[in-house]
Amino acid sequence: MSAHEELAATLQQVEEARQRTRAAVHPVWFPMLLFGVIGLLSTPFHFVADGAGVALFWVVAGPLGGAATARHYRNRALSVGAGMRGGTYMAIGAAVFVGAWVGGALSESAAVPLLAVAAGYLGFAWLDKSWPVAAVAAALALGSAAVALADPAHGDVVLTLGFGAAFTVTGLLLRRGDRG
Amino acid sequence: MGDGAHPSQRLDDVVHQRVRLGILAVLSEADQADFGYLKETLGLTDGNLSRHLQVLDDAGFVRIEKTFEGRRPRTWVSSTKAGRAAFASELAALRSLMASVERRGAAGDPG
Repeated sequence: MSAHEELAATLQQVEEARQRTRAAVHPVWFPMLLFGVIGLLSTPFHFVADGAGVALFWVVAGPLGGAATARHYRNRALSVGAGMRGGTYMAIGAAVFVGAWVGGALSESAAVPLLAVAAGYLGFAWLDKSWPVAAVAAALALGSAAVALADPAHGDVVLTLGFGAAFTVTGLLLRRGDRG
Repeated sequence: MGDGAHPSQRLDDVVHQRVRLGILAVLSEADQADFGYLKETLGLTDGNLSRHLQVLDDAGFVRIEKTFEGRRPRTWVSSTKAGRAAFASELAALRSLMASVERRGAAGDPG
């Protein structure tokens, strides 16, 4: 084997070990699917108590979803034998919750809290090095910004439905490729 | 980069060994990995993995923690700050060396 081939083989083995571990420790499909479904379930609450219902829904569902995600990651790490400690994930999750809550308090549009969600998922995409998550989060950010600026009738409901559907479908697709 | 030395001069003997490089590669993507995961992922025997982990531990590149799940012992390994830096440096040196070999190949230099 030439020096070039030996170096190439070593670098390839390193990259394979990294990719395999990355796929094993980041079951990102779970929070995508979970929060996609929660987003879809939240839609009817836009029509409860003049929009306050959806805020109340997320106050309960958000932390529950975060706790379920943390538990899933922990169980996954124990079963696979490799994982993340999760401090950064929890910090981003908490920032999304606070950002969405403050955004919702300052604006009547549900698009503003969803901007916080999109920013949070861009953070998760960066941590997980996941292009699909980054693409969906970027699309959500653009959609949220457009709805916040144009403020069309029922734009927040349409946006929530779109967010829920996109996250659910992406979660399901990523789950199919998950080998953990 | 930039110190003018040949890339091979920047290779670290502790990290450069293929198995140890593999261990640090795994730990560059996971905060912690257990003995079984490392053994399976890198295709090693218990003894071989233990020996290489000991070398990395002695160099301060990994932290080894023994825990119990019920009565079952479990060994978790994580990379230290020095280990992450050594891995990044090794990877950069290897890529630089690869580029250097490719440049020489393109120039038709047999040496």
